[in-house]
Amino acid sequence: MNLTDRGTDRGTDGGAYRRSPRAIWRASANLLVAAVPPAAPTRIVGSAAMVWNHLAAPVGIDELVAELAAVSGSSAAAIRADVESLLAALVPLGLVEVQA
Amino acid sequence: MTASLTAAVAARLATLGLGDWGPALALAPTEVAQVLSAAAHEGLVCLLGAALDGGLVHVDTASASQVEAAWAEAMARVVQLDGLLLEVHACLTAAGIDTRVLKGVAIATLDEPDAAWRSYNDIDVLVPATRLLDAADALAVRGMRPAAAPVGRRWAARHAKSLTLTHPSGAQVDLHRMLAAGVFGARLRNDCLFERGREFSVGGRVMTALADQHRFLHACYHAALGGTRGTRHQRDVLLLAQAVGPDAVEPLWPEGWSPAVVAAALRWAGGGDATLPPAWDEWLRSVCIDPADAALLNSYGGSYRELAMAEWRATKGLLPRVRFAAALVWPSSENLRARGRSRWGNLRSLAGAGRTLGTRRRRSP
Repeated sequence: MNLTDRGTDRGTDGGAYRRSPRAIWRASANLLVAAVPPAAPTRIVGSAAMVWNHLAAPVGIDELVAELAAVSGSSAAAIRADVESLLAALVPLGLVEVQA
Repeated sequence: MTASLTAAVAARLATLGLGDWGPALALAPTEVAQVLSAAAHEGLVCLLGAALDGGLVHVDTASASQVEAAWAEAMARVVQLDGLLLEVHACLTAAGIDTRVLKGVAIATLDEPDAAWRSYNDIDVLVPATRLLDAADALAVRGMRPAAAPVGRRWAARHAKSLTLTHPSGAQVDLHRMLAAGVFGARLRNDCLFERGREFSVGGRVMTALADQHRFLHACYHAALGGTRGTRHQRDVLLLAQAVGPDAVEPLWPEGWSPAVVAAALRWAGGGDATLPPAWDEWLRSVCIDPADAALLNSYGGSYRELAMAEWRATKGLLPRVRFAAALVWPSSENLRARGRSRWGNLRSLAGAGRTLGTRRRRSP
């Protein structure tokens, strides 16, 4: 699927992120458990579940950070590095797709 | 924590999200440990985690960590099982075998407020009644083997409720040809369950669950006839009773469903802290139960042998009766090996059981 064709808002680096449609997952307020079979489930404690919830549709990094900042009451600058770090961990696992 | 207190917590958790929760529940560390050690089929870990997330239960920090760890384990387990379901579904679809996904992920996805609230420990898939062995053979190619050989392949194809297969990972796949064992199961028209269904998605793959009414009826059958039942089974009935009313179920009796079974399940699930929707309360007050069905329900509280005897008695015609009994009297060598029995030991056991049943029948009024 070409995310650009869907009018996705893109971040400053041009990438749009979304969770993989092939991902199987469960989430609580403080925990995300997800896998793209046949890989084993990955468990991430903390705000990963909140980030995951905002990845249902393709979203650019700037918009994602702004949404999460609004929800968490933190400043975008304060959380941006953590969000980027999480995405950098989820993409190689196939849990999150990025469209350049 | 006493068993009754565990039951009281379980009763509260069974109703999570289904109505007014009331004041938050404060649990001591020992009480939390007791709930976490409850049998997996109770499904309490996920419900306790969700209640904690929602601020409906208060525990100390150490207990909260224990609940979170246990919930994470349960979540990882169902994620792995969903992965296995993808494999099973793809295999059966490739073999041209229609499926209906039962219980577990279907209830979690379609009926729970949040899928993370529902745990399960195996996969349950219904196939058309005539395709059980085809389905088992197709899955055998993927390394899924019967946990215990059936008494006979022909018998399994005609009479078995299900075959349990074991995946190389150790996970179990219950391949169903009926929704319940015994007479109540045999009465149900399996083909009706495939005439409709409810689609849902697992890992991007579209699957079909039973239709809403059939999921409700199945939850009732499992609660009343399934043998093992606990909080999870109670909650399934309560969840689906909210979504499906008597008006939607009444037209389905000709498919072979029994009002006696539904009434028994609702009376059980609606006890304690739980409240049934008013329409079902009204239905329970007015429903007429067939005395024969009520008597038959009692046979489900006994041994498998009594259940089989009831089904044998309900089987019409000499030849079908002989066929039904033959495999039970003379099971396959593989089945005997799986049960750790010799041929003659099995026959002696059957003869002893026959004498006991005969004596009991002569004594009964």
